[in-house]
Amino acid sequence: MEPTRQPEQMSQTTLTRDEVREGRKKLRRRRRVAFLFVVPLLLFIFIAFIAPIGTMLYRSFYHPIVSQLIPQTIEKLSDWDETGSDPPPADTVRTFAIELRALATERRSGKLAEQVNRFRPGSSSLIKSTARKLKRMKPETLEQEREILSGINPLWRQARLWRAIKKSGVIVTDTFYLTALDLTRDVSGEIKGRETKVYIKLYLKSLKIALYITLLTALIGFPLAYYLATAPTRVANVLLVFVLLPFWTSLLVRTTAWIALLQTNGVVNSTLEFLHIIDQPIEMLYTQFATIIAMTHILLPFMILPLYSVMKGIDPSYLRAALSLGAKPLPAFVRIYLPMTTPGLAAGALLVFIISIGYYITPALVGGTEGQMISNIIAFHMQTSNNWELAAALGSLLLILILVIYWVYDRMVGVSNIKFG
Amino acid sequence: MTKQNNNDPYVRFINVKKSYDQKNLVVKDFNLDIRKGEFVTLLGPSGSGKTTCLMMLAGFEDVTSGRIMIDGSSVVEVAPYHRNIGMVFQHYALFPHMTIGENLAYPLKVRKIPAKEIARRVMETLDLVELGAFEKRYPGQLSGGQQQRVALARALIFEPRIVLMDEPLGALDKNLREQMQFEIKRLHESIGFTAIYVTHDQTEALTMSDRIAVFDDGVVQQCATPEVLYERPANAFVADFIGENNHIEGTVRSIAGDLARVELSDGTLIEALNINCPDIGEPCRISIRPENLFIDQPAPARINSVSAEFVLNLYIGDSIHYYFKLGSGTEIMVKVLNDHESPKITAGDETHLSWSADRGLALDRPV
Repeated sequence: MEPTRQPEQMSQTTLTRDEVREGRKKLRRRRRVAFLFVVPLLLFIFIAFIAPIGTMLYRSFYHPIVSQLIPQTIEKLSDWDETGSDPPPADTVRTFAIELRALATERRSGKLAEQVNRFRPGSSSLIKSTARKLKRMKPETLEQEREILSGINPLWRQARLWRAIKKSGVIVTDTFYLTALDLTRDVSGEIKGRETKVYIKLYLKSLKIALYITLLTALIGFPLAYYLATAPTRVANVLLVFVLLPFWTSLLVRTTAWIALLQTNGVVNSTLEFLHIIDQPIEMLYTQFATIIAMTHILLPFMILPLYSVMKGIDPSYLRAALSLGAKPLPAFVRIYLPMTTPGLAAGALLVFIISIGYYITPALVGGTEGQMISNIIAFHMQTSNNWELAAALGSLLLILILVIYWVYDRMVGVSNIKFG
Repeated sequence: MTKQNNNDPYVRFINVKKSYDQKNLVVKDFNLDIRKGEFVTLLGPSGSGKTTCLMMLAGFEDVTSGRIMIDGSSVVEVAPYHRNIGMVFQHYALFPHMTIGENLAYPLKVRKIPAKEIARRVMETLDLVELGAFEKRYPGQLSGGQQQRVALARALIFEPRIVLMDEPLGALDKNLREQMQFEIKRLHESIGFTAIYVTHDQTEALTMSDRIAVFDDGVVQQCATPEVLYERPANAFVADFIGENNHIEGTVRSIAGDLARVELSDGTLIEALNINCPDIGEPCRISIRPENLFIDQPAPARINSVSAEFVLNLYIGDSIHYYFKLGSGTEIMVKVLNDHESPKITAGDETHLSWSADRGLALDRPV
């Protein structure tokens, strides 16, 4: 009896090989189907998110234009010692002259002038005029003449200009990051600070403005969210529509409304003058004040909604329990209710802070020069100065800054505690 | 009188009315006296106004009219935090961001009691609810039963005059609930606090209370000890709400003292205790507990007897429920202990059900 019963018992407690294979096959099939469902999302994330950010990061240090325009010159310049005061050897200069003439005939010398100008301001016109003169010369003269460039302009004898050309020819470079951090390299290649701190100041100002906006939205949003959460459903629903209303109107309309309110002859000034509170209109538009107040208005829902959803979930019996235990209303509120709203407050603050630090349109419209933020200078480098590499470096630094803030926030509040609603 | 007499009412509700919209009364003319150290339960279906009464006593709801007195003085104008009433909530309301120890220390801290004294009392109270090792844990790390014990400890630690409990066991499963009933009862016996307990669970009310006030529609239908409520309910609502009951409709034929003669629809005359029986000739309702009925016993043993048809029985375990149908179509359930004497009958059999006169209650017929 025993030997015949054994395999039967085995089949009851363990799976046969076929059953295991069948089970694995089903599992794989399920995974495949599940994966197919998320493919569109993954594609979208890649195209709309990962690829652009990747390109931006890449552009901020990869800079091949100059080495594509004058490849031979750049190659020859790599042997030249730029720390000295001598210009490069005649052979290198001749190669440059030939390449510059070739560019000039193709009408592309302007591009080179623009690139080199970034490393040595003022050299644009020199390169352009030299290119014009070279164009008129015969190629044979370039081969024979010894002092061809210095003949056109003595500035070509200076090592500084060639240094700028060599620098602009470096393909993988940290120059843009250094510029974005207000740093520069001196002749010997050592990193030093620049006298005028443009970008650091702007980053700090953006942080400051974002902080003000976060504090203001929290101050305004907290009581409102509390009222919304405790009001009767009918009243709360009506009020919630007013909170959401800004979401349904165009951002541009809301911002221009602030222009109408704040300008010199705007609603606020004329009302104050009519009430004889002021004699002279106050300059409010195109200031930091305008940026802060308009953005507070725009970002307020991002603070109210997470706060509201968290407060809505807090059982009123907590406060009642505190009162029944003998705590007076205000201490009970501070000690019991307030800590329970932290997840909402944290979520709202994080949302508002991160959105506002990279905000563009509102500071651009109402901020003037004083109310500009870092994103406005990024846009300037994208659209006006055409320095995409610097824009990319500034943008990457902004991204890093936000990630650092997020990390610090996580250490302080704990991102898992955050509740967005 | 300076010293509190034990029989004097400690908590008094006097003509208390409550309305939220100044039109509909949630609580109608509520009167209740509670002695010091008594365990009183407010029992009733949801929406009957029992929780509102509790909230008015705690001070979280205004009193529309009437007075609430504690120890001889009105508390209507006293803020909730000055009433010195401990409260246990259905969902515990333990502060999630504080440890168990901090939760217990909170009422003592707001009373500015020295830290040393607080630490001693926290440990003492935690030991009382057998959670001494849990001081450093957070409420979220405790099971429902443990959380409820902490909530109870927190409501007791500042030695309040009264402890209010608002369906404290509503969120627990059946086994835990019975355990906690025992726990609350034990603490009440050993500490002797005055307790007002709100529940819609009649078994809970019967097992725990000294007295039960049965609420319906904002009115106290009856306030009595569990035995009286069960055996001598004041009206049809109480009879129905507490425990299981069989109803037989009939017409009053005569009333003699506390006995009423009632004629059933098939002409059978029976005798029943007159509780709130209507006038002669009026329709009434006879109410009999399932355990007071006897199946197929000789007539002389009990006064009342009706013939009935057996339908089916349900096997419960410790008892068996037999279902019968009267000639009028009324269904009757008989509860028999599952011992060797439980009768064996088959469906469709005609038999007799009998009961003694003092086990049948003649009540008004609710519309």
